[in-house]
Amino acid sequence: MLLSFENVSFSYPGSAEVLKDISFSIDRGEKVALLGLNGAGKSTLMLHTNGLLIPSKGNVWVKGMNTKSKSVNEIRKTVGIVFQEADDQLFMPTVYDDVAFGPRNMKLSQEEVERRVHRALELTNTEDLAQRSPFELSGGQKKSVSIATVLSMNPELIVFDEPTSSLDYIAVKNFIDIIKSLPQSILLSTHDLELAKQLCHRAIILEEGKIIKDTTEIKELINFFNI
Amino acid sequence: MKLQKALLTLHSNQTSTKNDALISKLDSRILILTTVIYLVFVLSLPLVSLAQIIWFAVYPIIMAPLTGTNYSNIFIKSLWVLPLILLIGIFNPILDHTEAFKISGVTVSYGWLTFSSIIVRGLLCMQALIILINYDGFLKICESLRSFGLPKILTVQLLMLYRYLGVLLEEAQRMHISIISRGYGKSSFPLKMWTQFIGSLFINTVERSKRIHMAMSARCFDGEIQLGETKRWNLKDIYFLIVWSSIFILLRFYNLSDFLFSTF
Repeated sequence: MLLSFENVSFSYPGSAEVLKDISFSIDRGEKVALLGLNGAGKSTLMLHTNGLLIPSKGNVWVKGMNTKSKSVNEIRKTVGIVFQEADDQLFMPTVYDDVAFGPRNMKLSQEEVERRVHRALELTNTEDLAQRSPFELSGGQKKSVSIATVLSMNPELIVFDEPTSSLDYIAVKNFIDIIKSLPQSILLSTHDLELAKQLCHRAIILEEGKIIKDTTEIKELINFFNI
Repeated sequence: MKLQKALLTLHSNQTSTKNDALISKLDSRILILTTVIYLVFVLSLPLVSLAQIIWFAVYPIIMAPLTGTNYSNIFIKSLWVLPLILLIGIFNPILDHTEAFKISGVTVSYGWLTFSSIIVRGLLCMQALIILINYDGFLKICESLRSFGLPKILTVQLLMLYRYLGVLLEEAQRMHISIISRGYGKSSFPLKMWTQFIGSLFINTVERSKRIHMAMSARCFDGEIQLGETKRWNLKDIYFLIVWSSIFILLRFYNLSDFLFSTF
């Protein structure tokens, strides 16, 4: 099992529980959509997947490693997160440095870093942006580069938080093409049911911090939302 | 617009001019050493040696085109610190009226002489630092400082402070657009509102900084920014350091102005 949530509950200091007794697991190759209204707890759940947040109760396991353990960097090599705001994810002077940020932190050799950066830029069709400043890019380009920053770490599971929220239809199409070409497991948090249907075979629906449905039936999902 | 310009300048300072430079392969540690030696020599000159200090302008004037920029840009950027330098030297002409020399019957006091010297010295030092930052970008400089043995906590603080400036400007720009779009043409607001604006600005930047830190941690950031393998110095690097150090020694210990006056 790649990722496993085991009776996870979480509350921010001084506030009510945001996640309540969450249990599910994701296996290799699975592409899972995480659906729910604003405030359902999707983003909080995603931050638990690689140890950025630690459960108040229960455990999160990544390839058998507990996110509460000290091997958090090993966990982060396995699970990559693409954040909702690309501006938060891009902070280095050039696109190349940003994509190389993860591999360099993993203490890989210079040759391996270069190989991974070129591969990630190639997969996201952003090779020509390598020496540009992320600050100068369009929203769609920033999103593609932010995906490249995670791909260069070669994770086994990629978590996307509202990836198409600020993209135009061409950028959304590009995003779908990139994701379809990836062999990795995916956990995709979105409001966009169409996107979820195109990319994922399974959906988990969150409501007020609880899982209320975990289904592989798209029809069931459509009925659930009364579309 | 001013915020946008400041933001662009800050981002341009992060990217290097190395690709356009004539000396594109110079190790940034060598440039740091050269700059430090330059600063030591310029600042060690006596305040009254204005004629000698002016000769040190040779370094920024030659280095600007060599590092892929032009001197006028460097000079204009160095004027940012002029108010601070003026503040440092402003009391000299007021307090020191001792006669230094006369030009066409006009007495020039030591106060004015040292005041001018402080301005020239301040601008030259600033120009040398701008050349250094322009050449390799702020991140690379911090990495080089780290390789010189500067504690990690200091270099990371410098980098974070620099990144925070960008975040602060970006958030200020967003707030500014939001304020003017709902201000019905009003350009001034009561002081009480400004305190609220500033409070919100700092809260926004802290929230944004947290998100950026989270994005960094998600990619295995452990408190030290890695910028790739550091290359070894080569002979050209050493020659560069020796040539400039020799020029600085010459300018520091021989007054070329006196020599020229006595010759011609």
